[in-house]
Amino acid sequence: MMLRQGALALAALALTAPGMAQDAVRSPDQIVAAAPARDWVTIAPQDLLVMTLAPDAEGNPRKVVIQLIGAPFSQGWVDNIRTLARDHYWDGMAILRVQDNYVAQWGQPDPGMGIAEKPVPEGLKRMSDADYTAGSPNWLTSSTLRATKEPQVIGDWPAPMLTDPYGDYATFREGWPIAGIQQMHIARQWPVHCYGMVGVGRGNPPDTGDGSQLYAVIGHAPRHLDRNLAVVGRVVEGIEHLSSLPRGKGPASYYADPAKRVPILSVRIAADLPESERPHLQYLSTESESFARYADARANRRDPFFVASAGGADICNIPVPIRAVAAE
Amino acid sequence: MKNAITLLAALALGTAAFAQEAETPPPPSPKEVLDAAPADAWQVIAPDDLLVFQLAPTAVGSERRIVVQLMDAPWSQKWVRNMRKLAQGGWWDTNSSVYRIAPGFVAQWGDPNEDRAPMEGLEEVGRADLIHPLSEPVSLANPCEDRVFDNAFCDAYAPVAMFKGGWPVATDGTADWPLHCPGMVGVARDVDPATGRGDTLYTIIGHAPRRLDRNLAVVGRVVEGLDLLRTQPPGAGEVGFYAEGQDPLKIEWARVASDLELGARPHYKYLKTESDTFAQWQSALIQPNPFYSEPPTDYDICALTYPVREVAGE
Repeated sequence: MMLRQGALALAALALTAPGMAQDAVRSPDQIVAAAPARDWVTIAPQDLLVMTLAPDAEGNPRKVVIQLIGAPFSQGWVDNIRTLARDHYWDGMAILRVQDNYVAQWGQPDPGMGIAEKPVPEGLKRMSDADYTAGSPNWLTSSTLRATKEPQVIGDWPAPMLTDPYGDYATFREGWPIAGIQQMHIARQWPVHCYGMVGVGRGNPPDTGDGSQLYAVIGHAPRHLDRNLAVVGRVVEGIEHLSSLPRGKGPASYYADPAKRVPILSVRIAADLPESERPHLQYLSTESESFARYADARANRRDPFFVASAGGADICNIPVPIRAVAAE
Repeated sequence: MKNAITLLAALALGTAAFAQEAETPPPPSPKEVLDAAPADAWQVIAPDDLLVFQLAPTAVGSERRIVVQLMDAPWSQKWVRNMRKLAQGGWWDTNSSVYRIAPGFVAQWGDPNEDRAPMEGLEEVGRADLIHPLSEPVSLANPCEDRVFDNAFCDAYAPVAMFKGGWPVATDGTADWPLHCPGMVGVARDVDPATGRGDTLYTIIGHAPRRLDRNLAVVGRVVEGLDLLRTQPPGAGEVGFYAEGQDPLKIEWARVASDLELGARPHYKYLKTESDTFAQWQSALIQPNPFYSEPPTDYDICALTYPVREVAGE
């Protein structure tokens, strides 16, 4: 009895929603399940990238869906990624590197890997390291100064805000986890490297990468990469097809054995797929009251499994809820 | 795209891939600091503190195992003693497997059979055992304000986090407790007031779920086989449990290393937190590095993998 219940109880805190509905004890997942339809935002097919990998050893299909980040963040790289996808640039390429507790990386290979560089299409944009961040409004200071470890909506900033060891504060902006510095002469925000986030590989500065080489975070959030590489999206479906791959045995966890490289069959913008093949996904608006309650519940667990509540959470432990919906 | 992968790798591994380009010798990388550490900076882990889970061999017959370093006193010692008893009594030699893989969260193992009577003679554990009360309260500076990268981490879940005796812990000034960082091992349990005996275990395979701190017992860390657990097929059942028709990864047996023949024992060591090398390792983590346009100045405690290394056997 005990083992199964133990297992299920540990499970419950992750995902399931046992029946209690009282506000004081609702789990984050119960709050999300109860969110009204108006709090969910449909992800536009222009903003979804569908990467189809070769089937696994048993012939099961492997599909990874990536949501591209919206303005004002990383839009030069995002434009390049759309251009590359429409050029079918990644078709026939491979997952080249999987490093335990760190990243899975694909696309453009690097010198020293013994794979020829693949020319990119004409007209890709070039970004500078200033483009890793975006400006934030001056009036935000009155909110950021009051941020605490408990995520709360403060002042006129509409999403929950909290303190952050890597910046002056962390918060959410139109569905994305971000951090910021808010000082007299510089006020910037940037998307953060949480589990599942997708970034752009590059060489040493001043190179910023063109988007042809991408990586997804498959371990504990490597937040030290924030503001050093472009974050361009997040895996919203199929992260296990990247996180569970065998780790590379070569230098820096490249696959030394080419046979281990998982082939990429195709990468498409969902808008370019037939309607029947498009993923239909929504995210919980980070500016909604439901999300504020959800963030509060992530930091203050009151559901019955918990005996102690932290009164805080790190930004990467408040993942923005995503759900699949039926096609219209 | 020149050297993109190499350099992205370099910052993870701490390898100074650009050494030859620098005008002055670059400061040592974290890895170089550890490579150069004197022998007395390391604490060899006693065989009594290593628990070996022998797994079914791979399809091509390669042996594989999970090695857990058991938590040191003063934390979680009742569970740790139970785990030694369970191994010595052969608990995991029967009907045991890794039967839950929830990517980004946990891998869980033990005996999934709910009807099996628990082993007799295990210690009863209570909620109070989830933390270690300090003998006298300590007043704490706020590391979130000083923003100096030292062994007092700004933490989202507690007033201060730190490494202590080789383990990541947090404190509120009245007690301290071990943390759910990647690779740390915990004890699954039923709903409160159950605290688990130590027969069903999990380890963290994704981002640290620190909300579990002080809610479930942290009893050690995986020092070998974590990549193996992270690369197991995800459970197709609810929240990552293996579904009907999925083969869980069988555990053949488990033993405390001191009960194994000398030749079969794993040998591991961890960096002493009070050593000079530990301070040098921390400094190396924030050294300027040509890869960064904004060099890191801080980390959260679970972003750091505590230095543990295999040592050559006797």
